[in-house]
Amino acid sequence: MPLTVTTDSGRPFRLTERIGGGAEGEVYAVDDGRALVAKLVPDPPDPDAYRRRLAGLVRQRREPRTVRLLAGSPPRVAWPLVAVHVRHPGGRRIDGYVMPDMRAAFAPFPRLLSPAAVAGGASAVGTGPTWVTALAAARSLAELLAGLHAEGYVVGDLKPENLWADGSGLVGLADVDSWQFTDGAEVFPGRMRSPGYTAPERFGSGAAPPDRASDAFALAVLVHQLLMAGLHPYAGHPGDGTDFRSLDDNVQNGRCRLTDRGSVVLPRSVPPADLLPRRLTALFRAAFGGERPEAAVWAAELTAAAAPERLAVCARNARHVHTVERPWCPWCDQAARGADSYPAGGAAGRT
Amino acid sequence: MSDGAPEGPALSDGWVERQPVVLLLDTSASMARPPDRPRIDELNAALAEWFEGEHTARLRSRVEVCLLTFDSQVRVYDPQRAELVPVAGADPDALFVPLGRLRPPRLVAGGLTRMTEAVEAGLDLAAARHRSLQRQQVMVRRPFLWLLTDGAPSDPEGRPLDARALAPVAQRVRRAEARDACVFQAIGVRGADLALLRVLAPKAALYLDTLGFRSILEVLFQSSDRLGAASEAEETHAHIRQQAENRRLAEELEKML
Ligand SMILES: [Zn+2]
Repeated sequence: MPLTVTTDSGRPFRLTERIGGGAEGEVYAVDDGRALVAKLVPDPPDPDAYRRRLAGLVRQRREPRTVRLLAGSPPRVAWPLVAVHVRHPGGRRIDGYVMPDMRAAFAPFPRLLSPAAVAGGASAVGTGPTWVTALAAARSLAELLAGLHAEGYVVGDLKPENLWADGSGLVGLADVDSWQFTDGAEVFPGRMRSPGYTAPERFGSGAAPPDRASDAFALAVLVHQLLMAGLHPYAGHPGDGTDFRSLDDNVQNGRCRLTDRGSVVLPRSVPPADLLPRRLTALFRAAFGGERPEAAVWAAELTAAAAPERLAVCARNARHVHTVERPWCPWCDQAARGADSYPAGGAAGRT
Repeated sequence: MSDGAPEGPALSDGWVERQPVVLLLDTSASMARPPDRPRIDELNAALAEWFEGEHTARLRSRVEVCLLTFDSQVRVYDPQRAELVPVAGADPDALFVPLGRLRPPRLVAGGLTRMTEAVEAGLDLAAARHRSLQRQQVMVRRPFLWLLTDGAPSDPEGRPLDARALAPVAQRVRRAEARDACVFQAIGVRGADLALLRVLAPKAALYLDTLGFRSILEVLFQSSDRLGAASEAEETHAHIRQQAENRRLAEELEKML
């Protein structure tokens, strides 16, 4: 017997194979002419609340604010199309939803965080992603987040595993069922936190629920990782000689190369901090140590930084794209110290 | 499960957090049962499938694994020699292999269940590796120790150990967790003495007789990446319990696929 899930009105969807597992759910391919997948959440902490959350999201899809968010092609958010359920052999009802298959237009986002390893594929120079792709993805992500913030949504669990990107740097977002939103009658809180992407104010018991500001923290982390070939802004062994505990511990203790140079010890081969344009450095410093810029501010500054006249291409390696503010190539500097994040030809290479 | 990225920044680059894992596997005689479908065969298949399968870039770039087996002896897998060697005298730094590069040996079941010695050895290896990486200024998180067993600990003569005999090693585990030096999780499968595992790990003993070894490995490795190191060991144990329940329900559903 095939595994078939049904909507409340009795419409069946046949699942074909498991294609991924998330923190709280499993994702399956759906046998359908359209590119669809189904996410099932076998054991949510509060099944009734989860059902109401899904019903709320499905209804929200028709609201003008969501219609605006989903406009454009390809749609950039894997919005739940319909709630489905299945009866477990043990008798329990398992809920989930059907959504667009992001694989139709996008590739997994994490690959953008290790550009040295990604060869070929669509990109500006045809040899794999460059810093142009990184800037485009950062801008696209910031615009997407600014758009959903403007419509009153909060992502709450913004991290690479929930994101998708195409070869040109267009970014999409999945796992909408973990968002924080209200449908007017009920507030559906975001609960999830992910290591490395949690804002300092969200640690500890009695921590604040997610909001636009905690999303903006995760955005700044992701933009830093995109522009720094994967390097986390709080990466590094504590500079005071104490043991490393975790990135989260570094976040809570303000150990960040950009805001306090001596707070961390990093390998020589990481991308140099001064490869960033001055205005973006200022935004990062604010994000990690001051007044956190909103997503819309990031979107505007990243748009400016990505303008063709703001970029230069290295004479030695066409994949080395950098800001015109630097008279010499920061990626060549990095290569001289043992690692080239954008090796020529896209081959995974370390010098 | 792969997300398509061929490699994350290599472990050796030191750009990302490192998560050491010591996997303690019971290879005593009971694992040869039942005769028509020995559990050791399922374990071997699960190890091969999990380690040789695809992993997310995040897991590949972060996790390093040391395989330790226990029967009448405690042995560790030496990746250079591609064989199990006695744990005494082995160099801890040479025993941890990046997740994507580990090619597990074929395990054979036989002998007693020297579980307490295995846990002691696992704690020593984990602590030595953790210290060594901290000295090298690698961003290393506290190690995980995951024990899989279908039996009950025995002494060198094969007599079963009771709760009192387990107390010293149980206390060592608790102390290590309390000072954040590691997180210990014990998984019992069919036949395991859960009561004794609970002595060893009061909040972290889980009986998973309905979940296959392959799913158990997946739940453990994925949970390693879902929680901040700031979370209490207790939170980690609760999370693994929850993940295992999710996977069990999903696995039963998937039989219909
Ligand atoms: Zn260059």
